[in-house]
Amino acid sequence: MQRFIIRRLLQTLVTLLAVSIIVFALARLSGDPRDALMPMEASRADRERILVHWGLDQPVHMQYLVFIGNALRGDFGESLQWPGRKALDLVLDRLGNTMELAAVALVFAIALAVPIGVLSAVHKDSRTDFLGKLIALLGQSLPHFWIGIVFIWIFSVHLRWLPTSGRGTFQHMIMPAIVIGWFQVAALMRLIRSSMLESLDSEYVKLARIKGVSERMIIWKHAFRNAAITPLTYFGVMMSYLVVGSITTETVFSWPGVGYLVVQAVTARDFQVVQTVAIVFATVIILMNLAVDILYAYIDPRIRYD
Amino acid sequence: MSNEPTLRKNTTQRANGNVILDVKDLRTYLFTKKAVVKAVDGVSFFLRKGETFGIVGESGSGKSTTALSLLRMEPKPAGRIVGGEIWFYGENILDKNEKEMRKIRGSRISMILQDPQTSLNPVFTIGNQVSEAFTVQEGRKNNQGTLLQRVIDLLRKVNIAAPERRFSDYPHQMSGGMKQRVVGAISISCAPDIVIADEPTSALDLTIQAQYLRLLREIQQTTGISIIFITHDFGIVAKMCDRVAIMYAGKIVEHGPVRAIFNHPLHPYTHALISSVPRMEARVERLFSIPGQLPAPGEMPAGCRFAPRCMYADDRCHKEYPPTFGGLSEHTEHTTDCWRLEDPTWEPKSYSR
Amino acid sequence: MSKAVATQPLQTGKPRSVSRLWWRKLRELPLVSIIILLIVLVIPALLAEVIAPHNPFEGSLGKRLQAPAFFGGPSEHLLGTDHQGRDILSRIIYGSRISIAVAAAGILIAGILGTLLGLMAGYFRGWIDALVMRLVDITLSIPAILVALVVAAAIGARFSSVVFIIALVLWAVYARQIRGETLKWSQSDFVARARVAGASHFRILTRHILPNVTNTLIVLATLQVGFVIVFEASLSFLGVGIPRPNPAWGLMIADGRKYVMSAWWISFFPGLAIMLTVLSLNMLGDWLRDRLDPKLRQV
Repeated sequence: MQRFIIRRLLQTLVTLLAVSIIVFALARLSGDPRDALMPMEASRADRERILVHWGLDQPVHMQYLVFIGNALRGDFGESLQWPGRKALDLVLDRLGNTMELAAVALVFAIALAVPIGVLSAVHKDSRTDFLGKLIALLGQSLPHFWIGIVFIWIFSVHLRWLPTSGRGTFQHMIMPAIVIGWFQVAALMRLIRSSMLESLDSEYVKLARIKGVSERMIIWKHAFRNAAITPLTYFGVMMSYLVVGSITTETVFSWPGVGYLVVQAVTARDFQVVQTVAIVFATVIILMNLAVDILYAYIDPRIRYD
Repeated sequence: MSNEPTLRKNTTQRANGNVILDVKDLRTYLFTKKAVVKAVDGVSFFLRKGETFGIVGESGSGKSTTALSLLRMEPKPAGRIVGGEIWFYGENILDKNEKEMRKIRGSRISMILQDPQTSLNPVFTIGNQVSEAFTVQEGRKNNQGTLLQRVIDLLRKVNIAAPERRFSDYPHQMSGGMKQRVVGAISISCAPDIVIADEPTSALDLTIQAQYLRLLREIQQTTGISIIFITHDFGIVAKMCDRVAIMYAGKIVEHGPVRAIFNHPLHPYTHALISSVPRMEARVERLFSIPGQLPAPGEMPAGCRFAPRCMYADDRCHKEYPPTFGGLSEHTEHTTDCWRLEDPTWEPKSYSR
Repeated sequence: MSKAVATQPLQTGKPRSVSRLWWRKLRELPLVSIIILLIVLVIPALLAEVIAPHNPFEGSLGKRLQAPAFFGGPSEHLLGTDHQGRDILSRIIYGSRISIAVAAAGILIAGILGTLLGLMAGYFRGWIDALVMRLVDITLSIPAILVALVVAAAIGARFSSVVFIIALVLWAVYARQIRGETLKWSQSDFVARARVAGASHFRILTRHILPNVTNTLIVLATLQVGFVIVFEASLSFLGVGIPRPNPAWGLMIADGRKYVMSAWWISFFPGLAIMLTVLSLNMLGDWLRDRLDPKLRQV
């Protein structure tokens, strides 16, 4: 178990390193990185200061070390859009809002996907199954941002039930959470359905029936406990989709999270903020994956740690 | 087979006091997209208290479906019991609803599945799964302490060493033979009248197989349960069973006391099967194997199902299913579905001996 | 015994409801998908000049925000006009070209790169395999949209950068799948025979293994077209994809966002086009997968 965790930690480090290299390389892909890091109208003194700060007068590998060194100290540079504010502070300030939305979306996705997935499997080929497939297919075919706009049009403009944008009350959260969660419902439901089908067809379910266990207990205790393991591995992927979904969805609903921030930063060519968001998001996602893997090893007693 | 003499005495009539299960003309069909598969097609047999009854047949002969039908667990949604009666202590199982069936399953008729590797739920501990057998049937009135003690006693009964420690193990931490003993423990947990063992040893290696069979016999002797033993292995039948039925393509083609069947098989299929069992004393050069295979579900012959593979088959065999001939040998209760037996002196000739 | 016909729980045979029959027909006959794809995607892309009623780039401000013809607007603009007075129908028609071009270019590059690396990893094993699979893991753990944002912020958004990002994200999916297949086929008898006969690695890979993985390739590509179209639209919507004033569907939705109170049609119709296209592509992909490569069901 310990070796498994150490190995996964090392892998995580390698991936994070790769992310930093990609971000570093992209900043330098555009020629003089100062063009990406600074506004056009920057003064000579400013340019000089940036040169020293990022070690741009040194060879590339040294530049990378400076970049990593600064990053490890939490220094990702300053925002252009909001001068004087540290890029990392800006991002961390908003991370909570994004996580809040992602959590609500996740709860929504699970609350919908689990019953539909289980019922679809239990009543295979029934009307429920058909409905589930339809929801899944639609969820995977519709672009988030478009659903968001259509929702605003229906529920805010026409029915006037919910606020169009911003953050504040629970009502503000309903639409963005559903929009982000829907895509997850589709994928999660399909996974639960297929692993439930496999589980329900197993010998241990047969044995439970032989023992005289009631159908409800067979579905939720024996079959679901097993079937829930497979979708669990998907949670890491799911977190990354939630975060990614937050970028478009936060933009549509002007939700003051990291996703909205990064889109604003891209528009303003505020590269320091963009690279900070990329690294913070990547770190969050990679750590989530690590946590899920370790959790998975604890939950599934069969897992081998080699 | 110590009880065989008494067995012979009582055999002329079926419904005597010892019969606890009487299956009459059971039909379980599988409705698939392509065809209706008559997996069990008019099967009748009975079971006495304390005896071991074997059902032998090739894969696909319908023996497992027969077993599952007794518990009303025919493979759903394709499978359906379309006819027959299953009398168990004077009640027809086919008249029961699902809730009543759950009371019967586990507590009165139980089953051991063939694959110990997959028949235990991987995410629950052994103790959890064994104790569930008690709590399901008796409710949660047991307190945890006595429940634990009962589980440990039960595990000890099936020869599991240090059951107190094994209690919190997960299935993947046990060997195949041990898992199968746990499955056996679950099946006898509520002192059932009948245990159906569906090829319980086919997934185990030979030494463990022998150990397990011995354990089953022991349990039977101490508890007096009846066992329905389903297998394709005539060797196991010889060791374990008092009576045996041979199934072929959904029908019982021959039925009788084990010794009678072994010494005087009358149905050509039984004869061929027995000829294919290796015998220590007879040094056969080559085991006999039957040419051809089970008829495909869609192409069931109109007459005797075995006719296409039978060396004695004539025109009538292909067209008409034979009646059941009984009591033709010196042993009563020996019945055979074969046209050849119209000639009372007929016997299939030896293949290899 | 449980493997036998008799005890296998068979999946069909229950009388089906009407809705299910209808569903089955749809699934078994991807005709509807193909027709929708032809109408929404292929024909407009091929014949944009012929069928588009107006110039997609030019509009007059005098005609801005006109409602669709069936919604009380003038008959001149069937689906209405946008904030610059451009005909929405014409823009959607021209936009199909962008969707097809991005998807084709991205998937082609990703497919070639991924197949090449997957073949090598699965065939040669060893360090190549380890390296490729590590890269696959890394690629799959970094969300594509983040890469797109960084690229856009660093070098700006243009057609080539969108294609680059798509290829960067998708190659890993091909590499992983093709590696698995290659691993399996490498151990097959005919590859062993070819090896004994002295065939070169190149010949074995191209003549013996590649033909066996084409089905997988086709199915993967079909399943991904829908994803790529949505992805490109998302990038364009965020302003990091296809630049203005191109009539990319995602861009049109972004343009209409500000007018959702007064002119819902600007966003609605391009989104409908995406939905119809992707829905039919996914259905077609599912159908192809079931026909050609059922084991890909988990992908």
